[in-house]
Amino acid sequence: MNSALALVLVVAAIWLPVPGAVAEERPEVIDWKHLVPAGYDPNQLFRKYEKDVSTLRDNDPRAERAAERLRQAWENAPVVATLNNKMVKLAGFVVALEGDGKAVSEFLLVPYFGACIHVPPPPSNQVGLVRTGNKPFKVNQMFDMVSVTGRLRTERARNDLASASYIIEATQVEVHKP
Amino acid sequence: MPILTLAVKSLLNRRVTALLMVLSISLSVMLLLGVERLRTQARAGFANTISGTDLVVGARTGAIALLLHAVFRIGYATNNVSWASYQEIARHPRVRWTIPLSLGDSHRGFAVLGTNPDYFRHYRYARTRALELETGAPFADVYDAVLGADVARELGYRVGQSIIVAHGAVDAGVSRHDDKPFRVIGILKKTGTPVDRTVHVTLAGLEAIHLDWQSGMRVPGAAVSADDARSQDLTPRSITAFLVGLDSRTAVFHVQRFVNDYRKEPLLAILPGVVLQELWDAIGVAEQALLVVSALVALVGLCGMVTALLTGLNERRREMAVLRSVGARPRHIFALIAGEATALAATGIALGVGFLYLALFAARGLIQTRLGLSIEIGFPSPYEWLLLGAVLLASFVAGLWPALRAYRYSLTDGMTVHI
Repeated sequence: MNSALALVLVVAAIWLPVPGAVAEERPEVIDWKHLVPAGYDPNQLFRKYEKDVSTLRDNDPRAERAAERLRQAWENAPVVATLNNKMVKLAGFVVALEGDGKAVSEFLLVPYFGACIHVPPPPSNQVGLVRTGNKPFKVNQMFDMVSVTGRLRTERARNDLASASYIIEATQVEVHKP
Repeated sequence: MPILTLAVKSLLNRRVTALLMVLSISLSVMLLLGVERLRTQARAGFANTISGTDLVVGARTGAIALLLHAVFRIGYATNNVSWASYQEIARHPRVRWTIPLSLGDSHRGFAVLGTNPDYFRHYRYARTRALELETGAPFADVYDAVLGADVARELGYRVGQSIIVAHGAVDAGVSRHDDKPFRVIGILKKTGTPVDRTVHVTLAGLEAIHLDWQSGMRVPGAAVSADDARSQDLTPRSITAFLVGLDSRTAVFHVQRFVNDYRKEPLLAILPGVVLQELWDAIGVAEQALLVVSALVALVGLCGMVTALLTGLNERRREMAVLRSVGARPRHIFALIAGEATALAATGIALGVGFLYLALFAARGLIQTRLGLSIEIGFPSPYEWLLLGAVLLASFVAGLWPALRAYRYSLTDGMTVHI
């Protein structure tokens, strides 16, 4: 009887704190604007070039240079370092990268549908690489909006010239109900 | 239990009708499950063909057309990518690796792909698997060729074999590059992807065999021998498409935009995962329709079973009377008929699954040859079990009607039969 009681106590000691620990770290519901550092305004760059750009023709080399500078600024958009390692919940659209035909195991989370078609594409601080780990996400339709819950990390790409980007190790991906 | 023995004997007495009922249900289950099985296998097969590739770049056609041609060797390219454009894009700071692909020629029904050693280094399939050699080594010489597993197996080729590449997609013996044979230097392991059905050669080799060809035919009097070709500049002028791997997956939109906006040549960059999803969405309607048709066929099978049971009830009234006489209550008769219906359906389902597996084993080779897809023959998936369960439940419900009729007959008839 005593050994049984001891066993129950040991099991309780192991199992009970775990849900408590998980419950302590509630995911912070964030919006896409939280991923942009305060004071960074991509539209500023547009305005900087707008005076010149509106007077130039499409094939003008000056227009191309302006577009190139804008593109580079977009590609190297800064990340918010304080968000590193936080549990977050973010809603967006899915751009599938890896899957097996039924479920997606790696995808990009973007703020609007059609991010691969629209010009310009979202700046690099408005895109998150989501890895679903062992629980691939079943994609119903391409235009489903999803809510991703997971740990957000800011990671430097291998190339030193490149900027950092957001990666989310997802614990849960569900269809977003607004 | 005497009633059960009698029930079995009664069924054996009607064995032709019973067999037909079982057969119709088994065929409809085979169709239902087969459609679902092929659908998921095809999707998995396509999705597993390419992995870890951020972009596929080719001439500006359409996204699905480019993916099907460059990755699955389905369809044709309308234009090429110039070598200069390829080099410039490969030099983009976010690009970590590229694999050039040159398609167009064939060998005895198999596609010939011109590429370079980066193909064996960077190509991934089924998420993380790299290409491995069964025997031999990768390219070294201009005229080296590496065969996919199926090519070697079906044509009986071994390392050291000499092969002739034909010009164009059909190898009919008319337009062949027979002055410049290739030598098999390696054979790849089986991958279950279109790689198995491809003959891989070097880009330089493809360039060499076309040196004295102009507009699709050999130029008379300007022949260049195989050895002379080696000393010429064999840098390709153009390629069909190339695969791109980036240093960071989130950079994919920017590089894609860079390629799509490239002014010097009309190019198209696609995300293979996204375009595959587009393909599924487009085909999805047809898949749903096929599923509905299969479900209706299963329903027809069940209707046949109910019809046979109902019409047979009249002849079996004497049998029911006999059963009543040995102590069967009306509820036993009900249970008997309902149980019979479910048992017949269950046998039909089991038989149908058996037929399906037989058919899959038989057709596996043909599907592999025609579509390059390998069908995995494993246990039914949870969804398939659900479908089978649904058929069983439907048959049980359908069987309740004849059971009820029999119940009422046995109530009114008692020991004697009133027609």
